[in-house]
Amino acid sequence: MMCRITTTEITYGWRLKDYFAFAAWKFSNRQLPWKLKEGETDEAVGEPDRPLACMCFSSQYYFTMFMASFSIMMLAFGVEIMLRKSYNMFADPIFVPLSLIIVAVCVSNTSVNILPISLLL
Amino acid sequence: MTDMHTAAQLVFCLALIEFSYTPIFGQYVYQTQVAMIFIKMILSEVLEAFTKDTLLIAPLDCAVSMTEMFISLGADSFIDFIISFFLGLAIDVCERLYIDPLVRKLEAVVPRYVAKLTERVRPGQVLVQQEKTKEQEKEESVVENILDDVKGYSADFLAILVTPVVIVVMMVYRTELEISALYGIRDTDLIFYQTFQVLILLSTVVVQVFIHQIQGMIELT
Repeated sequence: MMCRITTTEITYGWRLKDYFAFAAWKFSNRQLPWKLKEGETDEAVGEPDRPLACMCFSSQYYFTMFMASFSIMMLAFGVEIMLRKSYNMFADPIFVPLSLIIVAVCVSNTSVNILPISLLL
Repeated sequence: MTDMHTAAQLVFCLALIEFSYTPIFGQYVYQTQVAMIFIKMILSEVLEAFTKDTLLIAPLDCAVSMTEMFISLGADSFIDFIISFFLGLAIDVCERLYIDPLVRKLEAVVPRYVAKLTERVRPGQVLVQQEKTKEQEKEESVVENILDDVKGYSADFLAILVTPVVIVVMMVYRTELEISALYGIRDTDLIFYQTFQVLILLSTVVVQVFIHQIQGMIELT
């Protein structure tokens, strides 16, 4: 990683080490436990890249990436299994109650997730 | 919008997995890998244009990389699987060293030509916008290039780390996924594929370091 940063810095003149130091400083001095909630106001960064810059390539960024990509894979596996077994989830009597439970869990998680995150960090 | 985006990612991964179950994939495994570069590029650009958020695209890159590694199990034999891995590595090297910089240059150059063309067709309409962007262009391009570069690297790195876990899940649900019947891999042989993925972990990280050193050399000469 260090070789990569050095060569890229020499090649393109991008001050990667400075950027990472700045990102690390920004992350360690964040106002809120979850960095993405702060938002990015740096005008040097284009609008589409602002949420990415806001995450500072921190542990929270890799955690989010892992959760998102791994869940996509698991979702794909789940749908694949349903297709292979010719299973219609909408015909299952447990589908509606289970969906409601999942929605309830998701909604409740969004309101209480700050506490465990702040404990972890 | 985020749900639509996730659905698009899921459909793409499903289409890839379904395609890998067909006999055509086994026959044209190498050609598919090459075609995947362009498909990924187009999909990424289209989604970015829709979402206007690169953070939402990053998991897609990672998920597609994982799916790519997963579907390579659909190669006709273990030898084909290993060859396809090395081909994938070669493609990755080319992508990092030549294709990605070329795309970035095109992304920077094409809007200028479009603006010039628009200026010729409809004079006076683009000038004000051009003056504004010229001042910001230098600052924005450097930070955006850094973000783009590190985003790609982090997605690939995470995919390499997570793929063994995905294969473990696949091994657990091999009966439900009908891996033996569709990929022609015996249940006992899956452990070899898993071992290979674990063994290449460290070496792939080293390869990534060398890729960036070569990248530096190419640009300096």
